[in-house]
Amino acid sequence: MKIRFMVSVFFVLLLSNAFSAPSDAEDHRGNPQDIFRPPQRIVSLVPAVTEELFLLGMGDSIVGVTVYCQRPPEAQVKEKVGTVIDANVEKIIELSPDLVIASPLSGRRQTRKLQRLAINVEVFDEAVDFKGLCENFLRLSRLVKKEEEGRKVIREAKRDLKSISESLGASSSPRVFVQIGANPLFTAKGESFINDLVERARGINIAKDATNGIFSREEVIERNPDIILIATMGIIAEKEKEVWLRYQEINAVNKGRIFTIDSNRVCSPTPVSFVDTVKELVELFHGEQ
Amino acid sequence: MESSRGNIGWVFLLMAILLAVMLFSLAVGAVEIPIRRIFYLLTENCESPERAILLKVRLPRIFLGLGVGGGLAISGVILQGMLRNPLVEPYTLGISGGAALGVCLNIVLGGSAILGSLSTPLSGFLGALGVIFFVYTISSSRGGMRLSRLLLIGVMVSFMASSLIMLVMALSETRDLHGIIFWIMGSLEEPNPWLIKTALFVSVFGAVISFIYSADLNALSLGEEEAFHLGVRVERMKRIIFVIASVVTGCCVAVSGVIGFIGLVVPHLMRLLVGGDHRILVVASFISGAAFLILCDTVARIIIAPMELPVGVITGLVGGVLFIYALSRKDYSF
Amino acid sequence: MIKLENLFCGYGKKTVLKGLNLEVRTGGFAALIGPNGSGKTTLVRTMSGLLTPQKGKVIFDGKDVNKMPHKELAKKIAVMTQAQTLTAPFCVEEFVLLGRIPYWGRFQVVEDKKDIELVERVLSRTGISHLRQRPLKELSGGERQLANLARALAQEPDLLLLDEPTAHLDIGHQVQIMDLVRDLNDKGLTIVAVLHDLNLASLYCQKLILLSDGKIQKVGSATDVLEQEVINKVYGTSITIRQDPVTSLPFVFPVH
Repeated sequence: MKIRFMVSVFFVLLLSNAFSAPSDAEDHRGNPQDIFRPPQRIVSLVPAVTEELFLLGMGDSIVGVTVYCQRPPEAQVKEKVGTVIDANVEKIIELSPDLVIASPLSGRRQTRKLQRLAINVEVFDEAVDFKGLCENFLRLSRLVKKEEEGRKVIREAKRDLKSISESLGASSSPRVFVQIGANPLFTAKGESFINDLVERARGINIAKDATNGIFSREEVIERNPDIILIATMGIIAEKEKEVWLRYQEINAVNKGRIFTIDSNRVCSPTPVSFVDTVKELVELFHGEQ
Repeated sequence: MESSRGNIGWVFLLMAILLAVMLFSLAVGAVEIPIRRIFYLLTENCESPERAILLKVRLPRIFLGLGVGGGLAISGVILQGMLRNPLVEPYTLGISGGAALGVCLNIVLGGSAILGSLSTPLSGFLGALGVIFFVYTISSSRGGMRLSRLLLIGVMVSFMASSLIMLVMALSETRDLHGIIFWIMGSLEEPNPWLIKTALFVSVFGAVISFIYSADLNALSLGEEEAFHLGVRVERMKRIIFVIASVVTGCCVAVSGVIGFIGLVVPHLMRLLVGGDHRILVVASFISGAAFLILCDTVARIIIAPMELPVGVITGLVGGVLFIYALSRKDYSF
Repeated sequence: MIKLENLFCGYGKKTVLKGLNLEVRTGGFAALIGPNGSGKTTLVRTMSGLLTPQKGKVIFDGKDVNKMPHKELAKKIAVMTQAQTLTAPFCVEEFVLLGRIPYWGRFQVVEDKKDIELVERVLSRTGISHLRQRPLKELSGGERQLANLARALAQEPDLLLLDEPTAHLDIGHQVQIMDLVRDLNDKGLTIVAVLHDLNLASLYCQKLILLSDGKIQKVGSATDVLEQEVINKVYGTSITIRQDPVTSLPFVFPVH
């Protein structure tokens, strides 16, 4: 039980690695002589940041990524320095980077060690909504001296979201339950940006009031969602779908509206992929009407 | 005596193995540095990423492995000797559970905002001390410390602590969980040199005290009554052993998290190798505990590089296999 | 040498020994006899200072044993307990060496030359020099008891307390141990032994102390103590007593 609990928690942690505004001002320090020069050797310990760096046209400056950095395909050929949660300090030192981008998930021991060795480490906090995602993106673009490009990407993303919202008009909002982990049943609470995704696609997250991610199945039946979204991949998603099929009382089950979505895209987005996901959700929520 | 002299040979051999393991650990890692270059880097004073890797990444890990491995091993030896029970290890008395609970609470309550990076080891140590004090008080009665009770209470406290940890985890934020899980898994990666020095100092100090009491431990391994008849102040001795084992284990756990199996397996293997004389057993266990942990950590570092396995995975697997091997030897009894 | 003054002793609230008065003189060889549960082992534990009396005192050479420092006590009084439970992972030599611990300073952990010589001497005295490298747990019951005796002798005690030294031993080893003990007694060592075998007690000891229900029933020579009526009453059985034709000491036979 204990092991299973830990493992599932772990999975959720892996999934929810997106980041927002910096936690404190200290993180903004940098070397004065580097103020006008963009970093040349970047190590990214965050898959979303890797993707964003490519969006900003900084792909060539990346010298190290995690094994989870699969998008865009160009990222796959970069040198691997460990996982999101466990970076290899030696490997990073060897690459002599001028900027390391980490998340709260990156081992604290490792990031502190790098800082002790006078390596510039920027830690990005977890995002809870699109706004935070944009702030995080803007901060990144400033760090790599690409503020203009960054603003442009965000402008376009915001414009797209607006037109989606307008296109939806006055259509009704389905009640949605998003499952991001099984055993225990894990969901996205109000302060998470899966919640933001659902709301922007004109859905109602039935678990919005949950205080933490663990949610009981009884509660799901009681709240009776119109749609169940399973944000996991492959066999686990299929298994979970079978579990839900036992509860025909739930509207979503009854009408066959259980969908699976790519957990990577949902849980570690860039502003661009966020918009794409919203579009996908709109299709699922309002497509057939 | 002849037999003792033969066993001192073992101590020298283990010492040589420890040195070899330390060198090996220095030489291998995710980044390849040829041996010849290592000597150059160590002797010449030049700035290079490789030198930083050697001196500031690998060397501190080796020293922490020395302290933690040695400390856990001697704690195991003296506790097993005192309780005359082969299943005892430093964590049996609930020390790790207490430390883990302390760290959990610290992470969840945001203690690092006040104390910075020192808050984790500090809260771990306080948690360990809390449990030690609790277990000690409950298992002591007017007649002195009752060892069978000590053991049972320790086991119960461990269970209670792990339940409380699960409670804290269930109620906490996902981002805090990450810190908790990682701390529980244990690691020798410690950025703060002061903590490494402290852990090393405490465990060497513990080893010296254990060595001073090793003759009394020999007497105690005949039983409390026999030890009394040999002039050992049994109650005082039990208290000292308990406190040393607890403080050393508490320090190790606070700095490196929960690294299992060393305190159980190393003392057993050493008993097989050098016999039951604590005067040699304590020294041999310290050395081989250190060598064992450094080796396991090295394996954990390189086996799937650039990723790293939790060192507890290796100590558990290797330790378990060795332990079963030791127990399956016909001539072995505690 | 050792004197009990109105001694009450027991475990917790339970009182086992109820008002004993007794003296064993230097050079004496006394046997403690009595049925199971009569308090023999408790008496040995009290005499050795392990148990604190509830009332009364144990006086050794004019000093209260419960007030003597542990190490000093261990240099004067050695106790040989029932050895079949000994499973410590030592070889004979290491085990016997433990008897030297009372003589070591706080920071001494290694034996000196005198210790080695003494261990050598007691090993040959007990006739187990050839077993020195053997692990304790590989020894037979008799050999183990000899090792146990050697360890007690390594303490160089003035008083040796023996708790059933011949239990579980064959007749050969019983005699070997008892001969050895008498030999030590002849050289001046004071001995108090718990004995179950009344005939061994009769044969070897100058003084028999018969305990029953925590009280001394009778003290004296074998001829005085081993009386048919007394033994029958204390042990709740029926025996007859004859005189050994060679030694003219009393001998106990069960009858039915």
